[in-house]
Amino acid sequence: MHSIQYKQLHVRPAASLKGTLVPPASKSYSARAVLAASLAPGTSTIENVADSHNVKAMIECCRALGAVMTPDGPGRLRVAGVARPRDGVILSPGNSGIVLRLLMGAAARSRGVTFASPYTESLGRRGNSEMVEALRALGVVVTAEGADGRLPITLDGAGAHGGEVGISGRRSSQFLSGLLYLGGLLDEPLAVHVTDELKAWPMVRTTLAVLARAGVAAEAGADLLTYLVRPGGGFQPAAYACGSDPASVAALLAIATAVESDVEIRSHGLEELGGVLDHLRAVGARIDEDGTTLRVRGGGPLRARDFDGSQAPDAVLPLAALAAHAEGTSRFTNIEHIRYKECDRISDFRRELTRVGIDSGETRDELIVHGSPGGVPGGVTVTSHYDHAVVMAMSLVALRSRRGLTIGDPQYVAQTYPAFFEDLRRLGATVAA
Amino acid sequence: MIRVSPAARGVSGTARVPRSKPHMQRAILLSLLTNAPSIIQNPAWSSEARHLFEAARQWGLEVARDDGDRLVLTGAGRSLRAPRGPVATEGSAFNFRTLAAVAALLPEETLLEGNASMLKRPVREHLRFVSDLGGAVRDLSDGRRLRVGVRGGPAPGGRTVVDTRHSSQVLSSVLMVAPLAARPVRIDCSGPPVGPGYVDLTVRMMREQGAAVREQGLSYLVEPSVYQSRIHLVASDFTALSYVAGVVAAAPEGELDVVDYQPSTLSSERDFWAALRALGLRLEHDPVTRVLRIGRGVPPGPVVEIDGRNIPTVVPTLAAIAPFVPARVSVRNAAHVNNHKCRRIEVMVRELRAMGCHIEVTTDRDGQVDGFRTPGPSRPAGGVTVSSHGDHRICLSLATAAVGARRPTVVEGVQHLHASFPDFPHVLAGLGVHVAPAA
Repeated sequence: MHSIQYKQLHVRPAASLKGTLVPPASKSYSARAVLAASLAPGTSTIENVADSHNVKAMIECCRALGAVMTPDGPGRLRVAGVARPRDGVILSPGNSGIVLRLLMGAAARSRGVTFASPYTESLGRRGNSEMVEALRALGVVVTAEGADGRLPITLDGAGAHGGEVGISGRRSSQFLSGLLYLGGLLDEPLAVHVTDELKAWPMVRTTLAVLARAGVAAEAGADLLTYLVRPGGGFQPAAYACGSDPASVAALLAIATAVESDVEIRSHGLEELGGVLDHLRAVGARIDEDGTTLRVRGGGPLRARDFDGSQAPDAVLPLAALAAHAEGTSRFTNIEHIRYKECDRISDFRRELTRVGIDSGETRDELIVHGSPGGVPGGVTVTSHYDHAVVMAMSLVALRSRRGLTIGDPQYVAQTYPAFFEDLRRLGATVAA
Repeated sequence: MIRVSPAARGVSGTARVPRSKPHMQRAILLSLLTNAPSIIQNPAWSSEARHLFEAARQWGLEVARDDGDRLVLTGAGRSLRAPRGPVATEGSAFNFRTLAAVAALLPEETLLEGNASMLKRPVREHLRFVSDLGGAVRDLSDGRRLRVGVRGGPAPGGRTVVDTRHSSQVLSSVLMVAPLAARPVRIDCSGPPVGPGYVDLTVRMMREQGAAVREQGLSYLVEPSVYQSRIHLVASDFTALSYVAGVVAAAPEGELDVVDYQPSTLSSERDFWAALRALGLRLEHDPVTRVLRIGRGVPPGPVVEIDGRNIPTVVPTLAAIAPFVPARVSVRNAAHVNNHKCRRIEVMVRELRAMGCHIEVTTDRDGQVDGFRTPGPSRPAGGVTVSSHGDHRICLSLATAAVGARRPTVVEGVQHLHASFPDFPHVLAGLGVHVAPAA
């Protein structure tokens, strides 16, 4: 049974969870690697490429731009890239901001490329004005919906050039990453400076790592606020290997911490977990590390702890769901940028917390969760807001509740982790359509 | 009836052709079967597509937004809801077959209804796949209407054999629902499917959305898999394009632009473009402006031979073009074209000869009509009334040939053009051809 074929799933409370899981591959690294490989004339290979819907959207877009993708064994993709992406195509980034913003950079030298998304109530509502303005400054003719640069967006890059450009990093670092990809395609140097602050800096490090592997000379200042991409030979074929998805690992760790459990997570090399392990240990989990395997034992009393969300933005929601069962109040700080994801991950998530009886608060930059150590009664229906992080967080709440939760539109977990519910079942949870 | 005058001074200008019905039908079905939002860009609303769409809504397809040229939909995936009342398929065999396949996914019985004409068409006998996949069929028809109850089994899946000798529609229907079955579905074809391009289209659209389909000779194996969100860019209807291209071939000279033209990836369209080029036409498409320019190209060789197997819908147009081509032209392997609304090859040849064209039918080893040939270019006199035999494609093809005749030709049957290209008389007028109603 593919759980993501259903519009509702009921997640029952779990007495205990036990077993071993291999988490999905990193969607962030996979999406960047697929694009870099597609822009490199020649053949690249990608090991352990993610099968998340975001990455599949990137693969389909790159196919439309002319790259040839050939599955080459389990989790392995062979990519024949093109020097000059096709003109006149319509690209759907699915519901992924990173796929959209990276491609806006990569397609900014092409003619007549249009971006549109069926997710009109999610990605379709997210603004891209930072990227639109930066591309215009670099000679790209951009048409977009509304002043905040919403989809559909059309680019004509016949006059694209290098030079200097500023970009805001306050709402998202994805615009910066997109510009760095464009820099790798230009014949002139491209200097980019961040005009305010850079919130999700770990993601920029991932971009720089992939660009370096593709032979693109992108130099970053020590503060990650200035960048210079020098013209060279463009993107070169390379061999990429994707690690495990940190957001999914964080969610699994939080779930195993929430209930009586003994769970092993065998990863393909862990990407930076951004303080998540230390936080979970402080909250009350027992976590042992053995190479790339994490063993977590949970179910004990949970302590409230604060967390700086800029270290691991995608981990905030599962950690906040865990905090809902801790003794005391937890504050998740430095997270304004997670308001601009698949949903407003502060206000929309709080709406669902309220629905299940969890007390919480918010400021512009902060989520405050007041714990209920006894858990919640459950027995209500919550909705996903098109967001994989909400689905995983609400599953945690359901597993620790007294009557479980019905999760509406759970299929959007597939943006990151298509087998999430099947993996919960493997650990002994009951999930019913 | 319309009177089409010769384009003595050639043709020029711009034209627009409708979007593709096969793409639209598949886009509707796949949008229903996808548990996520989809967009159908440039929807092609024929009456058949409208009925299919309304039926899909009974199963849970929801309209999030309709901007005219862009339809945002949310499908049901495995959360299909059982229709509350009978599902109307009117006179569409395609709709009946595809909706029967959807009904085979649900344990509740769905009643499918069709009009009296459907009682005479081969639809009921091709529902064996329902029981093969674990379901059941009840024939409740009376003399006035087709009425069939279809119920799926508790865990749909398994192996079925589909008769593909006369139509590939059942094959396409079972293929599209198969990813949502509980178990793998293996489909064996009774023989090489007619219209293989349409099967290719089905499989390609399924794969683009993430379906796991494996092709092994005349068999298909579909594993349970998930359709992902998609923008369905409905391609232009290349059969409609054929009439516009035909006008360039029939007129003494000319060049025109087809605006907003979106080529499909159908192998049928690829084969048709190759045939047009072999007949001496030039086709240049700009993907940015989406303009397709059609003019005269490299003159053809002395003999042009075209295989009609994969291009059934344009064989009547090729018959209309062939008499004007400075070459000996033959189209073979097109016997299946005669299984449509009329015996299209024989009718076209008869009516073209009435106009004064030099053209004759050809037969295969069994004596069946399988194509036509010309001895070289003709200058047909025209000046007659020709009959569409109730078939929109015959009407369009004859109007195309009339452009190259020496005298005005009256073409009967424009009332049937709603089925594919209702604006064609206006398109002709826009290209400089004098078209007037005829009594």
